Amino acid sequence: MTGSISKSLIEEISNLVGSENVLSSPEDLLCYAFDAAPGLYKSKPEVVVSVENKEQIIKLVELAAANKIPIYTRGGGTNLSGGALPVANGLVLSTLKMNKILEVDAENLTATVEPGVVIQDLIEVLMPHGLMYPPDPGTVNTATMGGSAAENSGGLRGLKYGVTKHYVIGLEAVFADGSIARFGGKTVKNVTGYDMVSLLVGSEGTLGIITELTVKLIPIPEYRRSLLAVFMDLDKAAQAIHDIIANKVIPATLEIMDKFTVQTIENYKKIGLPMEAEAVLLIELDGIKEAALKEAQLVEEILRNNDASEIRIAQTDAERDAIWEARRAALPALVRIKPTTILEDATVPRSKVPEMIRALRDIANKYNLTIGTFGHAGDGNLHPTILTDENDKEEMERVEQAVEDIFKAALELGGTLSGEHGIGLSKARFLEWEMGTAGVAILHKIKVALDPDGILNPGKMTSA
Amino acid sequence: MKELKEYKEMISKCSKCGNCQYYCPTFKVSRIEPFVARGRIELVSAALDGRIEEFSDLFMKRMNQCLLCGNCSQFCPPGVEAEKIITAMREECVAQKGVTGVLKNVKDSVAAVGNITGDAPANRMLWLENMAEPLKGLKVNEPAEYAYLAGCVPTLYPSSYSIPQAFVTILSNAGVSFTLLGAEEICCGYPLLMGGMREEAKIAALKNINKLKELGIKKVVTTCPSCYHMWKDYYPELVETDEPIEVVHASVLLQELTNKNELQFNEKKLVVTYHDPCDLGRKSGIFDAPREILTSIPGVELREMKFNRLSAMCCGGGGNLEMNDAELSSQVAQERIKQAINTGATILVTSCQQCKRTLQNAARQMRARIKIMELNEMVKENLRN
Repeated sequence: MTGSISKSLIEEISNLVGSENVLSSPEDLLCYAFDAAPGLYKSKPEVVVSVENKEQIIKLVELAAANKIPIYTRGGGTNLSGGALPVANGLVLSTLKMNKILEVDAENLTATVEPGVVIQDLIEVLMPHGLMYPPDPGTVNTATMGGSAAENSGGLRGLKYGVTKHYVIGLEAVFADGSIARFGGKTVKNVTGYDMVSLLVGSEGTLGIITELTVKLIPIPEYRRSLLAVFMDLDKAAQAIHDIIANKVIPATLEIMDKFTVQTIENYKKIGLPMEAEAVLLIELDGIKEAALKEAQLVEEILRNNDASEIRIAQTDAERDAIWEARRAALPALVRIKPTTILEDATVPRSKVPEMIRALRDIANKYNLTIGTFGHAGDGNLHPTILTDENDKEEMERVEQAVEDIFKAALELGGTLSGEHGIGLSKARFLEWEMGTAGVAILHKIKVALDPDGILNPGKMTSA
Repeated sequence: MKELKEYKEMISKCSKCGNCQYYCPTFKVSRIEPFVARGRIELVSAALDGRIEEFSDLFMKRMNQCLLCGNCSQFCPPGVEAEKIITAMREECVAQKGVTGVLKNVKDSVAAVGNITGDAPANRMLWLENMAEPLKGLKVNEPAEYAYLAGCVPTLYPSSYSIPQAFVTILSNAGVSFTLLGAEEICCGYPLLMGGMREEAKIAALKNINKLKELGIKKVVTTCPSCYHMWKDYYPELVETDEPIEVVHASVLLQELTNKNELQFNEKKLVVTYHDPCDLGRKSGIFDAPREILTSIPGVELREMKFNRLSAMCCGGGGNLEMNDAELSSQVAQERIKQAINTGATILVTSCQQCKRTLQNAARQMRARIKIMELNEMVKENLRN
């Protein structure tokens, strides 16, 4: 990855995609030196190219390969681990103009899309068919299908419905040598060859550039029931989570918010959450009406048995919206406090959630930092959110140490560095902690086999 | 209105989350980062830190390609108000580089003849002379309860004449006491303020306020959302006065008249959609009055577009964009027309002459079969008697 882009090469690229799809002024390039990940250094690309079809991608990769130019594929740029950031020179390939929904196949329950389709746009097109695509990262309105597949994004419904990797069943991608290949398809069952779809999902743009995706769909659940429960004791909230699952109830969503988060939301929105609550759980059951209601009743009993001090059950759509407004307000409320918000996604087995929350509290005290924690209690994916200021060098050092401690705590509890945000730049150096030297070496070998010159999203994940 | 340096803290709060992409009209049609709030804010931030050449032509162009519609800031998680930051940056650009391009013409013509087009002031009366059924007894520069400020576009663009024509007809029928300012009406100064010319806008504000004082009038009514927003929210800041002048938007006055049964409508089976002008809806909080008027016409079914009220997409005519980048403005307008067509409505109603103009041009370019009407035109057409 040493090549740099000459004027004549930019001209060649302009001839390929049209000059309206090429940005190369310092002003415009600056707007691609960031994604949504905070606190990472800012490096401008040399050119930004918006592609309109796969043929352009193939030719662009051929040009880049011949000149050893790094390619940073970018969708909505909403990544939280720096996956879309240029690290040194090179070309940002934007997929945002490849945003056609190619097919909704209601009979086979699949949709086939271009990578630049925004997730919410697909969800809306599916509604009249009574179908849904369940992965719903917080950035559902802005993140693209290609980007969320490359990052294997999660969301609020992971517990019952899984994450992106459980829905992508077919992929077409361009590889570092300019070759294009298609893997998987519309069938749920497919064991032909290596499972390349699974390899490419979550590969963070380091192995290939996704040009088309086929995803599995499910019928929209006919009924939803939402509950909010307030606990004065964190252990009781944790016990309630345990009891719900032990009673064979799998909520679509099972979220937790800690005391600091609840207080911050209340200060910001005044929705009537008790300031003295140690934890708030938000739960949604869905499915066939009778089943969802029966499960909701059982959940209510469990919450009561665990001394929930208050239980709100939404009887109307407006009440349901009010419950989820509290959850939606979590991040906006937290990010208003300090200029920089570090949102982590360390994940632990569900049973370890209370231990993790306590560990996070200890870490906040140890480093004298403000950490609000909320997240997907049902699948163990918590979001410790550190509120800081990236211009405060001394505090940022403490933040860095705290982040390391958070990862260590998650791993000690049998968890993982990242539940849904990816490794990217921000966690690359911790990979070995989880995978060991041998594990990282295997990743490296795969990377080198597919991209020997390291032109595809260099510096990310395996640091190759 | 603050100066750029006062926005430093707000600028630092932009977390680059990208939520603005969902709401930004210029991003929807361009799908590139320099056309969305987080990109624009990064540019401002880089200019302040000296990371890029300040006030380059391209930098200023990027600042001028914002519609200042404020849609993104309504939904910004850390509450960054991009339109305010960019307006302040435009002011800084003017301070450093002077007024350039088409805006220079606007500045000069407002100074010389009191309007944005450079027309002779007497032309302000052409719309009145052109009425098919001339109204008798209309006051011009006389004491009355209201002064009706028709605005530059409706009085000087022939395709918009029908708006003030409809409004004065409605007011006359309902017996409201009002006067026109005729050839003596001048620009409210809003395009100057949005173009970064605070001092020039202040001069316009002062002239307007003095003119009303001269006539002894305490209430202003206008069909233009931008004049309304300017008078209501910026005049008190720009000009100190002990006797503030009350300003009312035409839609609110019409709503009052409808509620008092002063306006009655014929039945008409129609499916309409309503486009919220940024300066009337998001900026001034008037969402219900126009909708209530429309639904009080028997037989009218109002269908909302996906982006409505607080998230209503700008028509493409905001922030002087039509002057600064006509093509981008037209692309935005065409996107809005698509949203309107998706509702199945045959008429798109708005309460702004600028929205009507940009949307109508877009519909024409797209060969779209949807009629664009301003609220007063719609009301007048369906009035009983």
